[in-house]
Amino acid sequence: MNTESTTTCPKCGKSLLEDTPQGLCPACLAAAINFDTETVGAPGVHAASTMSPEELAPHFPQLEIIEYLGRGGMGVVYKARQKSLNRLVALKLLAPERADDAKFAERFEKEAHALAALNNPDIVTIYDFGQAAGFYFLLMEYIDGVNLRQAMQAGRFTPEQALAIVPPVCEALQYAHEQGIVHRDIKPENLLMDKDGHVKIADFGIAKMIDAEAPAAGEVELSQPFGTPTYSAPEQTEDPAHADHRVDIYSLGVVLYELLTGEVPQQLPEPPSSRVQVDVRLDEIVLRALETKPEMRFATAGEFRTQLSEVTVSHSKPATLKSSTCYVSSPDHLANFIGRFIYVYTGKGKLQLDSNQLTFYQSNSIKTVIPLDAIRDLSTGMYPTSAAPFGLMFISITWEESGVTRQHLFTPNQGPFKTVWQTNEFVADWFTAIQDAVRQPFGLMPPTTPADELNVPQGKRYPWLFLIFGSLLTPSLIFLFEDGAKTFIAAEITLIVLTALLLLISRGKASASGKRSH
Amino acid sequence: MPATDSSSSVFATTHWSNILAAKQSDTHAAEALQTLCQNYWYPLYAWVRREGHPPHTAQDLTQEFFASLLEKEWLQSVGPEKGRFRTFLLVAMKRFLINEWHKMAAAKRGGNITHVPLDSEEAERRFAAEPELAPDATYERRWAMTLLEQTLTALEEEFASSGKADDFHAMKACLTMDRGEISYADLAKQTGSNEGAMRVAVHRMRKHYRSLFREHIAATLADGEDVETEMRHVVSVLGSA
Repeated sequence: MNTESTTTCPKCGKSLLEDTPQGLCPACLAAAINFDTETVGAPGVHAASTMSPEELAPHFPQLEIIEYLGRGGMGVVYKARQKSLNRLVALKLLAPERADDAKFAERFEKEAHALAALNNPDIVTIYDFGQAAGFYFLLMEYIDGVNLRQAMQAGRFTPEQALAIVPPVCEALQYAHEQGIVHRDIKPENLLMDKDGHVKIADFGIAKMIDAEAPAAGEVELSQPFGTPTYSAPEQTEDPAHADHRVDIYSLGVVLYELLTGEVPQQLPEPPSSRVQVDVRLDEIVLRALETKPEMRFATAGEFRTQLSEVTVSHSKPATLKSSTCYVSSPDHLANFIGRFIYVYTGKGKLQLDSNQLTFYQSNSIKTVIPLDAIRDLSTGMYPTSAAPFGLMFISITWEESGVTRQHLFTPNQGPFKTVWQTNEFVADWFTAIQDAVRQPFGLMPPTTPADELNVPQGKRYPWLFLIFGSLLTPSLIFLFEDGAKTFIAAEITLIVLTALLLLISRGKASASGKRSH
Repeated sequence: MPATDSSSSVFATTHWSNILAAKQSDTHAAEALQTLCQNYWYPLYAWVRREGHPPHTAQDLTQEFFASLLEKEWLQSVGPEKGRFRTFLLVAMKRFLINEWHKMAAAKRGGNITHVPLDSEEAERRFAAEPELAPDATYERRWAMTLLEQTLTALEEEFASSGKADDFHAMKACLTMDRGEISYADLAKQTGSNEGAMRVAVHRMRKHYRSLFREHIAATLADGEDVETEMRHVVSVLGSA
């Protein structure tokens, strides 16, 4: 992650010593061992009912039980191999408490037959069902991948990606609805994404299988955290007898909203475009899918899909507003010796501004993303004059990331052969551009801190030191070659005048760009 | 420096709790103990050096310690409450220092039959890079780092065994990155795959990294010890390092 030149982790700022494991920062590696558990199981699936592959094996002689995959709200899933056909399958064990209910068994069978009739590339295929080991089991297609919840946890989806995933799901739902089957439990955990990025709907119709009667005890919510039916349509809880295929459209709307904004919609959902950069037309579509009354939503999943496809065509990436090479620094660096006296920068890279965020690319894989709405302070200041005597500007950006406040100092730059004043103008220009970009969506500017209050140590300025050093040291070199007091005096005077001029000009320029930092 | 062998076949048997439960004559347990010692000798060496012993003395001392540890009778006699390997090792070393070292120095044992080969140059080179910490803190930190190294090596080996060593190197930085920082598009280009596949791969790698870490920690615990507690301890040591 770091080259030999820097010895601090760019992420957490800790110093890195020689033997870092695989070149990665140990503190960050430790932080990555977060103690979050995987997808939360719902109440009702007891830990005691989880059997090991060895315990299951005798009950399924036709299968080779390979490993335990996970637990959902409906049951436990294992990876297995069908010996006769030598193919991988998923074995799902359901509902231990229903095993002896005859009526349930009949419904289960009827639904299983209906599911087996669903033949669609975007729906996980059912191979077999039955009863064994005191469980009802389903044998299904094995998907080598993750569910959408896990994919979302691995990183934010862009609107393009979200719009690539949802339409095929709509089509699959349309197909299923035409066969008279309603999923009733559409949510990210039930949308599986394989290694090629294709999404398939899983657990189809299982919700309908389980709740034998009208869900007085909230049984439709079996797969949801108790009491928060985040993905179910209102009529699923209020009027389940009359709930129809449109509940799936609602649930898919919630999923789409979450993919776009990273959060689930509230009681009164805010339009996605107010939270992220998406086409306004997408707002209409998502909000329509989330209508409380089913008759206000799309009549069919197919219609939902058609509307989405029209948005996909015209959607484009946010345009880059500004881009240039840029040096970076930090207050910590400026507080130590090298930063104060020798070299102010900690690195160099490319700075890119678009309407959503400021991105700093430092190397192939190090990328700092600053969402514009996360910026808490935007100011300019001067590097310590002990290291940059003619006054060099930086832009200080303080922002929040996952609850941590970070601050970087940027000096955008046009190339090596520019003077300090040209660079400062360029920096000032960038500063205005960032201010404008931040102000755009919100109408608010982040606070600007005066230079002496930023956490940047300002070197004391002794300009007359330069006069003395410069004017004494350099001309004395003349004595190496020539004897002549007159020559010396002339050189002295010239030098003093020149240095004074330069200082005057630099002070003048500094005040012109609006910041003085004595 | 003995290679940290963490392939899964050896792994199954190097569980500290198994070693403790083994009978005296169990050769598998003896080998397992030897493997554990090979993996974790450096934190102990760092401790000894931090205690103030010069390099040559420290090397002799560490080697003698391991030699006597691997003599099974000694292990049996150390006392019933052995606890986790991390604390056991340090406590055993401290006792060894007090009791045995002086005896042995006096007896001047010849013919070094060391079961745990230490590379003295390597040891000193690594030690030179250690931060200035108290001996116990040095040991703890070094122990935690060893765990990390082993986990990552195991992860790398797994990738390599399915021919994806290059993928590992492209993806390993993702282990420490924030969600917003990972460019799946870049990764896809580097590995010749697509974004969706990369999301899946990164998620898996992270999950597997955590479970490997957990496994390695579990292997150093005695019966009845809590993995979570030890994990939190190691994580906090690394975080403040």
